[in-house]
Amino acid sequence: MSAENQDQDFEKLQQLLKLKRHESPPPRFFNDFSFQVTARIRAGEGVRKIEDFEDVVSQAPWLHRIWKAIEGKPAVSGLFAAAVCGVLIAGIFVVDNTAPTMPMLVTNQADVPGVNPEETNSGSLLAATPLSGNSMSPTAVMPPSQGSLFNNMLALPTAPVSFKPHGFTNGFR
Amino acid sequence: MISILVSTTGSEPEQEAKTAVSSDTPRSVATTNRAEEDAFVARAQQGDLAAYDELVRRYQERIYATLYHMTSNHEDANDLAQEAFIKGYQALKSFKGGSSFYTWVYRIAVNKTLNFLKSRKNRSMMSLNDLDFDAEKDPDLVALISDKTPRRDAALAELQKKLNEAMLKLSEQHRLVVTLHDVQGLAHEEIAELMECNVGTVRSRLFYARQQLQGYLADYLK
Repeated sequence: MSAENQDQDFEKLQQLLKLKRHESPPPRFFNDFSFQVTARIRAGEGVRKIEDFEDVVSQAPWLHRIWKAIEGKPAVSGLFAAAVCGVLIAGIFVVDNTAPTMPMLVTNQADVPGVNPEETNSGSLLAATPLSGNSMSPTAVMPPSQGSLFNNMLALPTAPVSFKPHGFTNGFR
Repeated sequence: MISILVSTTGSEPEQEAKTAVSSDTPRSVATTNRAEEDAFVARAQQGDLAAYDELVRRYQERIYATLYHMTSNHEDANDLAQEAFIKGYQALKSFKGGSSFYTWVYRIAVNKTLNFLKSRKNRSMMSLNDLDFDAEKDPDLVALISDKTPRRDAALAELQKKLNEAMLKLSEQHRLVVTLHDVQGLAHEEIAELMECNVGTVRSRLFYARQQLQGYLADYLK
């Protein structure tokens, strides 16, 4: 039987099968499809990275033994986690006690030991200065006034200024 | 979407599902702008997901449609199509370009589906897509429904259900041939290439499948 004859024999069936062409997925189904595929691929790559890590662990026997010990027993893994947390907290505590804090700007020179308030100019600006002393008690000391810009301004000749207009006296004329 | 539990009885001798994915196959099917496709494939082989996304967008509808007509279930078709594209990406390094990317990934999808249908055995839950609005205007379909039918959309939905039930009674290989030829409109030669068999086998499978369907749907074809 030729293909043409076959098609004639099943003409009505083929018409009916056309109905299946009108079955369409929900609207916008294909908008998200490729995104879902690529998202799953990315997630799979993440899993593969974990598998790579497990490969590395399995290649190092000592690491493998530690990993197995931690993985199999919840108590051991809990102790390990507590130890890690303890080390972390201790580290933070040690760093907190040894690290230099922000330098303090001292305005009252009399409070600073070893500094003569007479030598400093109270009108000078608070300038950032190098730390003195040790790291445990950092203080910024005001340097003695040496050629301050404001000092020079005070030395300039001054004359009183009148803001009254010329010929103006108290009251209206 | 309509969900119906159906018992399938199709058990034809040619149900061998090819589980191995052939990575290097001759000739090409449905090549639209092959050079551009090759460029996307080359980029995807280097791990460029954006390029692979473009390939997915090109073929998602055709592959989904085949899997949907094979399973009569939207969710299954969606899962299988996604898995096929994911497997395609993972195996892309083994793709040598002997066939088009479409043919290659299509085979992955079909093999996955055949294995899935085997595992689903004789029971299947239909989850049919809705018919689009054009179905009521299709002259071929209108001819199949009586003019006196009070609700034409309901009659079409009933017909859709019966048709899908009949399709599920076919063996997977016969259903695939009917889907590719009578529903999706592929030529015998293209189907032969996709199914890795000769054209004569395609013709004989198609004839047998149509005979079966004609028997199952006799009441609707008078």
